[in-house]
Amino acid sequence: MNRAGPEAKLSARGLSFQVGGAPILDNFEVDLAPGEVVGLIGPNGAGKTTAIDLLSGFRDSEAGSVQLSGHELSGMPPDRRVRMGMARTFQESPAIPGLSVLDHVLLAFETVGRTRDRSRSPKEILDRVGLADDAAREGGFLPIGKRRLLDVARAWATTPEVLILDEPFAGLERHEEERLNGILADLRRERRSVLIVEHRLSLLGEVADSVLVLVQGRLMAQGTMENVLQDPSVQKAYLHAGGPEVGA
Amino acid sequence: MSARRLAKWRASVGGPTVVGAVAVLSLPLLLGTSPYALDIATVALLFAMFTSSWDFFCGATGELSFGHSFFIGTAAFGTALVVARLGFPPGLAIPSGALVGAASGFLIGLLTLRHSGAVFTLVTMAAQLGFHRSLFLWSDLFGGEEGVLIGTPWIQDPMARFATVATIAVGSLSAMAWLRSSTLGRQLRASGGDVRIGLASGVPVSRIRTIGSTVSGLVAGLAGSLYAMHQMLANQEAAGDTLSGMIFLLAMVGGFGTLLGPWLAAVVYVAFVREALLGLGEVEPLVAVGLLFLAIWVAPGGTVPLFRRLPRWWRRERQEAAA
Repeated sequence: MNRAGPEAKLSARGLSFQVGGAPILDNFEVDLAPGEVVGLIGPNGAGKTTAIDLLSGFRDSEAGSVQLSGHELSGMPPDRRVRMGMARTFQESPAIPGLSVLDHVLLAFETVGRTRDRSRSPKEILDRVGLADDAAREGGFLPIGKRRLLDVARAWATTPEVLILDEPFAGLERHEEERLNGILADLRRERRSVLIVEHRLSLLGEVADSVLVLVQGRLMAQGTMENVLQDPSVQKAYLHAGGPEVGA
Repeated sequence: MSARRLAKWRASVGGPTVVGAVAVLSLPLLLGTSPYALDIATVALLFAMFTSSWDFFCGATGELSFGHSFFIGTAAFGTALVVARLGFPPGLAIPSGALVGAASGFLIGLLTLRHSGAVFTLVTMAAQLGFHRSLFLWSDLFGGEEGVLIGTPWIQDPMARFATVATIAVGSLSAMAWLRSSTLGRQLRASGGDVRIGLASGVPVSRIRTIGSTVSGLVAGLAGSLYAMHQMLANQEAAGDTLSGMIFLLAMVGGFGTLLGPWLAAVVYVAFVREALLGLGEVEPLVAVGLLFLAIWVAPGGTVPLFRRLPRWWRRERQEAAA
């Protein structure tokens, strides 16, 4: 499945995870080329968040490897993976109590981002995600849409080579969706690779070069959004789980 | 310094420094300048250092330590021992005690590398109780009930002693406020509770927690060392659970995470409330704790955050009255 070839920014092979002997993820693999945007879809409970937890080091894989620009990341804690150039967001977009919006971006920029690239300031990042006017507000008090954009801004401020976004479109208003699309276009222009877990397939179809379909912990299909949605096995798996939210 | 940096400094460091300095200057005005009054004022400022050093780590990370007197006690006994047994002069003994406090903070940081919440609280309690017990187990070294006597005052003149402690108390408050507003302060806030955002921002959470605990131990140790020099004695009270509990309650009264709140709460309590209750005899501690609980009930988020909200409330009331 190595579509990205030898220039892959991120290359994961054979990632597996079990809970009490039950496989949650089995032999997961993904390749991301520079500037590529890949979607990861699947019904609820398919193992999508587990997959990105294993990629980002928040869970330890029982087997397999994760390589970033040819460097092995397996066994590395999450903070070191961030310093190596892999950033992520979270489904719930949590915020740190007592820290302002600007503080969240400063935290990531000062800890990692400025050592990797000083060309963009935290204020520019906030401006780009549309949160410049909210810079002094406490991050935890933002509405969910803005909190998602803050999570993206924080991850972006680490100047990552690979960015993993966990349901970034969930709860966004229309103008925020457009804002996020613009950010993804910027990331693509900057040759950063993006892996997006998303349930809203129509939105994902607009931005992703290809998608991976995960069902019951196993990769079932891969290709363009149009092709995978026509795959009978994918349709069956989704129908079994209530159907894909294509129009959402 | 640019205008932006100056504004940032004013908000984060300047404010607490000015309020701390005003509080220090008002103490001799309100209490008087007798040796007794200056003694009370000096102890009040040392308690302010105890509570603000607690808040530096716990207020930022959201952890609850019930064993802060472990830092204070180890530093106080360290200071007393190097003076009494090794003849260290105050200029060397006080930094030595502060370093002992920092080492205690580092130890707690290491012991709680993988723990937060209730386990963190239990580890801090166990460290304090263990040290307190060891004072009696090794009474040859630590002097048992009597403690370790220092013998001579470190500064003869009470006003000079007060001025020295006041400078250190305000200086340590400014330094901690500055650290709070720095990268380390943000990293420390990201190293408590849900640490996922911290880790996903590249923060080495375990290392930052250890650094934070060490800084907390350093300031508490400096205060513990000065406390021993001021009392000319290190005894089990400096390492006791009563002191730890009082620090926790005063931090709550002042407002967790505000630094200035716990600092001011300690000054007001020790200089005024505790003094006013002295005539009550044996029931004094009960009344004191009752008053602290009352303050927590009236202002659950702390008194300093409450006072910060008052101007907004006052403006709104006036606007409504005008309408």
